[in-house]
Amino acid sequence: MKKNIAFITALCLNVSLFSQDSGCTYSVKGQVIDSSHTEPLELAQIEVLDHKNRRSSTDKNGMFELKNLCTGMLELHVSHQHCEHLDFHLLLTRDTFIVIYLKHVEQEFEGFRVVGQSRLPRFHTITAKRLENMKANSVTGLMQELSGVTQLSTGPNIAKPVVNGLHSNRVIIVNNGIRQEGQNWGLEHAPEIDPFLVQEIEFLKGAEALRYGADGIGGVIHVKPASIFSENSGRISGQFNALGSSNGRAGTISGFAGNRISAKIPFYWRLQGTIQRTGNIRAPDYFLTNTGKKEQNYSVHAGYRIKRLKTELFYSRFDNTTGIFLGSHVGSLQDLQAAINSERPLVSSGFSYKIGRPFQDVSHHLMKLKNEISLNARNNLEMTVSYQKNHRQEYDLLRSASSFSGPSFDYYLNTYGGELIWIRNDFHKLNFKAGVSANHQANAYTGRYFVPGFYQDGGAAFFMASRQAGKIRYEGALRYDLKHLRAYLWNNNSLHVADRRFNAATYLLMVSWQAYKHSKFTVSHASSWRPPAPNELYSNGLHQGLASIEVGDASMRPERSFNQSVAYLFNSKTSYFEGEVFYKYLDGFINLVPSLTPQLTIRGAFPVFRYEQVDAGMYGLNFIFKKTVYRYFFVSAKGNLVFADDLSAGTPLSQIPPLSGSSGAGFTRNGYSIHLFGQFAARQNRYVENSDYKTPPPAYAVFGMESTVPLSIARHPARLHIIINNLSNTRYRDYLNRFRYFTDEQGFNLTLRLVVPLDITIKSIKNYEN
Amino acid sequence: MKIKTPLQCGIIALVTSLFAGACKDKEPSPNEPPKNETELITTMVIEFEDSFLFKKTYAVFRDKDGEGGAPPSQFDTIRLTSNRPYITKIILLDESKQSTDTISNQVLKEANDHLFIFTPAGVDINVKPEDKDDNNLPIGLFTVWRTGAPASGTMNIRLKHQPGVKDGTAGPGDTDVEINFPCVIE
Repeated sequence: MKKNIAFITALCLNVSLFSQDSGCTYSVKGQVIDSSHTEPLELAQIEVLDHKNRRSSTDKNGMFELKNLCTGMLELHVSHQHCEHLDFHLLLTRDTFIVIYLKHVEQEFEGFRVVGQSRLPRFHTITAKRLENMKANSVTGLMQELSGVTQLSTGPNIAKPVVNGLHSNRVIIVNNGIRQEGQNWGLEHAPEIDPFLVQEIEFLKGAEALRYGADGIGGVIHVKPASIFSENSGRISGQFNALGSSNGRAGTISGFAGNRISAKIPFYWRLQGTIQRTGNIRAPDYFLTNTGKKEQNYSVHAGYRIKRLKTELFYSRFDNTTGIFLGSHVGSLQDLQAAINSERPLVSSGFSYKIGRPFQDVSHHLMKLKNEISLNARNNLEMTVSYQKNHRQEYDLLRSASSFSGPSFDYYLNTYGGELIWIRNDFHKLNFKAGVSANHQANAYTGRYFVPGFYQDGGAAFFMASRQAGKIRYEGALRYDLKHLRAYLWNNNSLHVADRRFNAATYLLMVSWQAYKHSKFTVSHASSWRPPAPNELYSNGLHQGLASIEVGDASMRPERSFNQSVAYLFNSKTSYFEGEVFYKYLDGFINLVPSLTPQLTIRGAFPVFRYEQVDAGMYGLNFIFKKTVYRYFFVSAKGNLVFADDLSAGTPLSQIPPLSGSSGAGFTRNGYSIHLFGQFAARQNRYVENSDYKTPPPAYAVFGMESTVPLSIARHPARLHIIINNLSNTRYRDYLNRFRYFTDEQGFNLTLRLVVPLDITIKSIKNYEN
Repeated sequence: MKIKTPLQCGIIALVTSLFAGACKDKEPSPNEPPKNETELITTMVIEFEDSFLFKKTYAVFRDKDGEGGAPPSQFDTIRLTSNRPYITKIILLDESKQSTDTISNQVLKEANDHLFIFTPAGVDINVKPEDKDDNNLPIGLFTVWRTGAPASGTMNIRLKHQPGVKDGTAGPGDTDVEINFPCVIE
């Protein structure tokens, strides 16, 4: 591979040599093509942002021309009545020709997409542009930009999304069109996705949400990489990232590169990889012993497309080793009490990159083959098969130096999936998708018992439809699932096979009303369900990290939710607002309830938590707001409030995020930007007395900054991001961090991120996806 | 497009290596009995030798499936005679495996990392360790217990694992065993 990199560099220099200083005499010509039908698009709008009169629209051959442009980085906006808008940057150093593929929206069921106003930010989506500035975060950190999403963490390196108070088995994460299948039941199991692979994150709110499963009771979050078919021939485009953080002395290198082999051969490829090392994280007053992390990920993406067929092969591998804060590992309740009562962690250390026990070692492979066949203008077929392998090893502290040094838990989860969808557009003014999907899952383990080995088979049929009638849009979806679980429960070499079958329907109805040009209301009602997960049915063991014994209940029935929500959405050139109020009723909500009698073990008495089904009610609101106040100045705010109750007992549910939010203000111009922000969380006052080791922590507010500076390295354009978190090095604890019992949150952290777009062309300069 | 060939080579090499990597583990199957090589401490036996009568008595805590699962199958009360010295030995076992493992031998071998703590409550028992590690700090596998007046209460026995931090006190390290035996002095 070294050879290639050398080649890339050489070409970069060549490109730079062509560039000339100043002079606004250059032109950008090009063609806009509908990506699904590969036909030229007439009347597409191309606009250079910040140059008010530089705009053009395409002729009947899809051709356009922008004249009298200056050298430098241009931000282009492409829109078409029936297509997704596209924003991208273009480094202009000479006259340039580009081909732009736009994606048709009519095939999509993302209901809030406004046809005809497509240049405005899309709802429920973290756009590529926003994500591009945030890539110093974990994938869960990125998801927090969505309205209603917060995080549940276990120390500084492990976090998973919480959607309106629900998480784990109740939130579906879709990774590049494939439902992510990790050991997602565990609170300390983070989604195994490389944040640098992500180009866009979307919260699926409409009918499309039912495509990936019935159990997205909290929500469905789709994490998407860039489309492989956005690569172009005659150039290799990509990006190189280098990051360094002061806290944890972390270093990350990440990059990707891809192209279309040639104009004649429609074969596309992209390679991507990330390497990261982090040492012990520092809270304001002390280091957190053994909180280093090692991560290496890569992915290979290939595509082939001929007139009626699009084939895509994707493989990604995620590998990480995460140290678990040593002070959280307790042998008995007495140790736990001592750790909790101590102001500072009982175990202290300096800085080190060394990761010792306890730690987690997780690898995740995801492989996907997708074929899209366009039968005719109105009928499309999509066939997807996938394979995922999740291997998770947890290493507890050794009891003695001569103990077995392998993993204490070692899980292997293999998932095979297949999906076939028929997409029909414009059928009596109705667009619909009908499909079937099937999956097979095998879970096996060695080591300590926590969840049994099992086989799980599932089959589902679904139908999703939408119809636009004037200003009103209707969307609906219906899904029926069959699931079969066989769990193998061993007791001293005697086997009991638990056989459970579940089947039920899921539905969703949504109406949206485009009240005015920029604003709309939506009302939705949905009911979904999930069968109890193997851990909820059969777990019976000690949770080392929390010194508690969790006991499942094999007789539990599925949990069903009834969700209703009303949303108000507004997007104009200068303002963006998304606000939602919701009420969920959960019948048979599976809840971990403290049991009154502790269990006696050789390490003392441990509190026992049992899975029980209760009726639960949850309501709340969330919003996101952004506005350009004056020319280049903008303000932003986000807020999140959830109330959740066990209706059977009349008590609040535990582990529900308190009132939280963020707000910020900034300035952006010509590629320079600065954004100051504050995040706050109130104290969670809704909890049951004496049900937790420690009462919820007090309210806090922390501040940070994000800034972007355009640079030129060897006359090659680049960007520097400067990100500061916990600017004032404030000591605080977060209610949804499971290590709040033991330590403060991370202190001051300065991250520098250098981004160098790779854009190597023979004849013209390529846009890079921003 | 000179670049084509090396790149394709690269892709092929990558794809091949990752599939090779994916297959190297020998995976367990869901329906076979799971291997568990992690040891447990399931059982504590305390042997008391009455130094007047040379008679041995035992107190046992036994929980064969470890923490969680079934409750302990045996949990004895320590019964001792008043005003008498007892030569006391602690034996720790792992009875969860096919062949029972004597964990206390490991404790002895790694004496520098281990310490037993004895905390009586409601009874008057003086516990004096009779064994020392390389650093001349007590271990507690062999002790002499001197009982006081008749009473009933509890005797808390803890085994602390203190690798590199053992200083003879209960503070450092984490707990491997903690049993609060009911205790009667007659």
